[in-house]
Parts: sequence; structure tokens; C-alpha cells
Amino acid sequence: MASATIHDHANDHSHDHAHHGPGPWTRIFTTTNHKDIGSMYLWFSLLMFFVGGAMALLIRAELFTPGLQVVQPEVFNSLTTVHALVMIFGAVMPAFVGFANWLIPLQIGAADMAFPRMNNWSFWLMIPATVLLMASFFVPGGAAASGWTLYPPLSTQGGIGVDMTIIAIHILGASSIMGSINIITTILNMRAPGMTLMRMPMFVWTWLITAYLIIAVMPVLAGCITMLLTDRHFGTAFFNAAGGGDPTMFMHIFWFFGHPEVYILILPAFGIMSQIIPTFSRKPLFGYASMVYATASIAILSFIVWGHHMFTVGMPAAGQLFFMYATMLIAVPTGVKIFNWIATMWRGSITFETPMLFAIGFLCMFTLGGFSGLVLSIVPVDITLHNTYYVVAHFHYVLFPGAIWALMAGVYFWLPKWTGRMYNETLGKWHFWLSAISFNVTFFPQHFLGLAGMPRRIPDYALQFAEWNMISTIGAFALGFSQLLFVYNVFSCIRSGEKAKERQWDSADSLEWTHLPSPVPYHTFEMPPDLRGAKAVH
Amino acid sequence: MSVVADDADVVNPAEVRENNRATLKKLLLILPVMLAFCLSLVPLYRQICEVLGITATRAVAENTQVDRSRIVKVDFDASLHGGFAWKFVPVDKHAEIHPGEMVTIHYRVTNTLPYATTGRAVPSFAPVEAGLFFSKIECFCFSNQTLQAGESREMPVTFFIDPKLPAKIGSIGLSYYFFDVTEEMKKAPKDPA
Repeated sequence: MASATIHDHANDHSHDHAHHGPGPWTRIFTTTNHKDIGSMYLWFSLLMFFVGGAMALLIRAELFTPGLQVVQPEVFNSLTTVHALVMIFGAVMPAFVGFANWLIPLQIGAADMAFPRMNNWSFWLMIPATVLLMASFFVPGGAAASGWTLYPPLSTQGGIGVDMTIIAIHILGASSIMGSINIITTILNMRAPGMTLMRMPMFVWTWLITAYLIIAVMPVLAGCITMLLTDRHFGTAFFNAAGGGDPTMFMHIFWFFGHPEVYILILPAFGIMSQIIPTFSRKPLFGYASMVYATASIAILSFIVWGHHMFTVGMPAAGQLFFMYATMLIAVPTGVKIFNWIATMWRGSITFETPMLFAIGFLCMFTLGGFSGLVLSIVPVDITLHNTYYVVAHFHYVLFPGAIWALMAGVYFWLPKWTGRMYNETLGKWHFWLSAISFNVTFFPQHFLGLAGMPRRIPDYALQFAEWNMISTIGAFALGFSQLLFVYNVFSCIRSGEKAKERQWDSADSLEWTHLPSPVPYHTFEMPPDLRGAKAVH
Repeated sequence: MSVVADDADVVNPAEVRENNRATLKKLLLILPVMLAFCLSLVPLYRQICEVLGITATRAVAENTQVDRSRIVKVDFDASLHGGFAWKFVPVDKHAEIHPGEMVTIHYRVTNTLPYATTGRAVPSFAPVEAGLFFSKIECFCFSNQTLQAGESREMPVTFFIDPKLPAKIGSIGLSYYFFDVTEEMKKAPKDPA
């Protein structure tokens, strides 16, 4: 565990009871320390990132040439379904919760999270859920094959694997709700004197808003999949047309959860960007207050745009227009954020260390993904592009260089603080450039495939799509294997990296850089720092 | 929300714990509210679709086969074969309809006997020629209807009149004649189906 590495005995004082009693294995299960739990979340999500990535490579291998080579269609459908669920609920969300655990107490000057035991519980809930989800591949009927959206009637058919998936999502939902309650309570009640809300680092702000989104929409998902479960086993007919139910209703309820979920995956990434870009531009963040309001606006708007996922379902034109304009409206606060980051960099003394490379990559690629999202928001265009590879390209542009690169940037940025050691800068840059090139080789051609009409979630395709699919698969394998550089870099940093300075990035100005040594001691801010009268940190 | 009194440098842990618990309670309240919202979408969804006139197939195609320039009067008649102790009456005595329009009317039949009996209805048209243009989509005729002692049943007839109905026919009489087939049923060999 990384926490074992960052645990520095020199910094221990009167806390022997907390971590000298149990051995390392007991400690994994019983720890309530936010740094331990943060590390556990990050390691877990890294593992799941590779599990989900392996599934993605199987999918791309099947699509390398037309025809069926690697997997059968049923397995292919399960792979696309579970790849998405693993990446969303197993990789990206836990990784951001890991960052929240590590950083929020440090950045607001609190000793730990508000409910440390609940924190431990919310991490450990994820393990049985993940086991259920992965084990569903090996039961009769295989894993859920309805796509991650679990649309009926596909999801009301399926075997026991679908039930396992539903239960897994229930447990993961409970875990994220507990994590969010912890985060909100910590932020609202445990800030150091003088750390007013409008002085909090942007990462804390974005997580506060994200956590509210999670506790608002996770119960909706829970209700939705519970109805699915009762339709499957208890003779209800919420979504079963034969019994008077309506499959379209599932889509409405699911996307009422699903669209805010999209922002749950990206808002903390915005927070990490807002920490890294000012640091390497050596300028304060441009328009801090507008960043806070833009984040809140995005969160509120996310509740009224779900219909754009289902333009083709047969809604009235008035409904389509409403959802189209509401969706386009989200581009305004998002644009505010993009322009603020660019304005932060404007005339800054920029240097291009690995975190900054990933941040700039994020800015370019996320904006591109945002634009293809705007294209899809136009109803007549969406009707032709619905369920094509254009959509696949769009959401991978906002999720991979969006969420994942923000996480990578964040890990490179905070590794020196967490471990007290520096990562290998050259390897980090290689990691970035290989990822940037191979990502675009993988996903840019998928725009063309989608425009040419190739449907998603199909294991075979017409011959005219062969060339771009081949290129996309080559890119995907390069992208997948480039990530091994990241793993190597993290391990070698922990084991033998150069000693990091207390303030490794000289312009980083949140509390963990200005008030704490590197590596961060096991216990911090038992006495909250007095920030009253101090200059604002951003 | 600040837990620190203005003059204190030290955060009071008991106070923080109390505040945390209060926040926890408020946040937990959101969960049932959102769950209730989710479940209330089930009836709400149906209501909204009904109010806005959204049906599953979006625009219900207008039936262009209806000849609105014509009205045909249809009389419904019910009679029983001699001595059959059922009560048989049309619920709708007559209807004025456009050719091409789909219409559903009902008959009511009651078994007044203290034991189960089976009847079978046969339709007839006046004028007979009208039968060629009278299409029944759903009807109780020609099939055996078994009624328990004292049982009463409402039976629909769904039909439309072909717009090619000759202009000279301005009204049609539809008559059903119920036969008692109880004895015949007993004699008949068991249907293997």
C-alpha cells in the first residue's frame, strides 16, 4: 500500500494507538485514516482501470476486422456493458473519491473526514460489489448484455448475471452515497478558522457540488433498478409492455440519474484542472467566483437535459426543442470554465511538467468532445447519429482525456506530496505524448465511422468500415499499453524516486503545499491552522 | 456553518461532532425524498403523457378511410330461439355512424336458469346485401357461450361499414339469434383441441 510508504515514523507523535497496534493486513480492513482510505480508493480504481481496459481491448480486437474472430456476439455485448460499468463505477468514481479523501481534509485544514468509520465502510462495500459484477461473466447466461444503461426489455430478459449486476450497482450506489455524505459534512463543518466557503480551493468546491449531485440522483438509480428487479422476479410490470408497463419510462428515469452522473464524472476533474493550471502558469486562477457559479450552474442544468439521450424515442417536438436548447445552454457555463483556464494561462510563465501537459491535453481534447456534444444536441443531427460510433467517439473524448487525464494529471501533481518522492519526469512526458497520440488514433476515426453510419454495440460490421476500425484498434492497443508506463512510474516513484521538496511546485498555494511537509505525516491538522487574516489561497 | 467561535483558536471536537451529526441527518433526508420522487415518476409519467396526448406511437395516423359525408343508421336487435330461457338485449339499441368508422357496441346476455347452459348466436342483416359491407372485427357470434346459473355477461361487437356500401342503403339492421346448444354440446364428441 502506498499509505505504508507515506507513513513516516519521524512525524508520529502521540498517536501510536492508531496504527502501531494492528499489523498491515488488519490495518487495511480497520483503518479510518483518510489518507489510508484515499490510497486504497486510488489503488482499487487503478486496478479496475486495467480490468475495464482489458475488456476494451477485447472489444477492439473483435472489431479489428469484419466478421467474428475473438468473441461471440453475446460475450461482445457483455463486454461493452461491463466495460462501461467497471470504468464508471469501478475506476473513475472511486478514483475521484480517493482524491477527495486524500485532499479535502488537507485543503480545508481538517484532521480527517467527518465520519471516519463510514469512510472505511464505503470503501469496503465496493469490493463485494465488484466481485459480483465480475463473477456475473461466469454464471449461466453470462454477464448483463443490455448495455450499461440496462434498457428493458433486454434487461428484463437475461439470466442471473443481470440480477448480480443490479445488486452490484445497488451496493456501489450505497457506497457513493456514504462517501458523498462524508464529503459534504467534512466541507461544511470542518473547515479551519478563516477558511470561508469562497476561499476554498476549486477542487473542494467541485467535490462539494458533485457530492450533492450524487446524493440527489443515486436514490433515483436505486429506485429505477429496483423496479427492474421486481419486473424480473415479482411479476410487476413497470417496464414490461405486455403487462401494461412502459419501457420508455425506464429511459426517462434512468437518464434522470444518468445525465447528472455524467457531471459527477467530470466536475471533480474540473476541480483538479483549476488547481494545476494556475500552478504551472504561475498566476492565480482567473475568475474564481465565476468558476464556482459555473460549476453550480452546470450541476443544476444537468437535471433538465436528460431527454437528449432519447430524442428518437418519439417525444413531441416541443419536448425535443426544450431538451435541445437546455443542452446547448450547458455549453455556456462550460465555456466560462474553459475561457477562465485559458485566461489563467494567458501571459503566464508556463512550464510544461507532466501534470501541466495532461492539463493542457485535457483542455484541448475535452473542448473537442464538448463540441461533438453540441453537434449531438441538435435534434435532426442526433436522429441520424443516434447509437452510432459518433456517440462513442463523443463520450470517450470527454471521458478519457477529460476524466482520466485529469486523474493522471492529479496523480503526477500530488505524488510528491503523498509519497515525499518525485516521479520520473521523462517517463511522465512519454506517458503523456504516447497517450495523446494513441488516444486520437483510437477515437478520432470513430467520428468518421459514426458519420458513415456504423452502429455501436455490434460485433460485426459492413466492409466499408474496415480501414478505420483497423486503425482504431491499433490505436487502442497502443493506448492501453502506454498506461503501463504510468504504473511503472508510480511504483518507481514510491520505491526510489528522488526526495521531493515540501513545496515541490513553487506556485502551488493550497494548504497541503504551504503548511505540510512532504511526505504528508500520517496525522495532520489536529490543531487547525488559523487562516483568519491570511491572504486568500487562490 | 463555521464551527469556530470568533475568539477561539481551538476547534471544539464535541461541537464538531454535534454539527456533523446534524448535517448527516439533513443529508439523509434527501435520500427518501429522491427515492419517492423516482417512484412517483411511474404514475406521473402516465399522467403527463395522457395530458399532453403523447401515445407510444407518437402521432396516431388519422383514419382516411372514413367517409364523413355519409351517415348510416344501424339498429341492433336481439332474439332468442323459441323457449331458450336466457335474457338477451342490446345495450346500445342503435348507432349513427360514418362508413369506415370503427365502432364498438355491447349486448347483454343473462342465464336465468338455475344451471349452466350453452348458447350460440347467429347474426343476420337487413337488408341481406348489407352483410357484404359489414365487417365485424370482434364478435361473440358462432362460438359457444357457456353461462353459469344466473350469470350475466356483457359482450362487445366491434365493426365498421365498408365505405363502398351502396348509396341506396341508408340503414342496416343487425340481428343476433341465440340458440340453445346445451344438449348438442353434451352429445358432441370431446374436441381433442
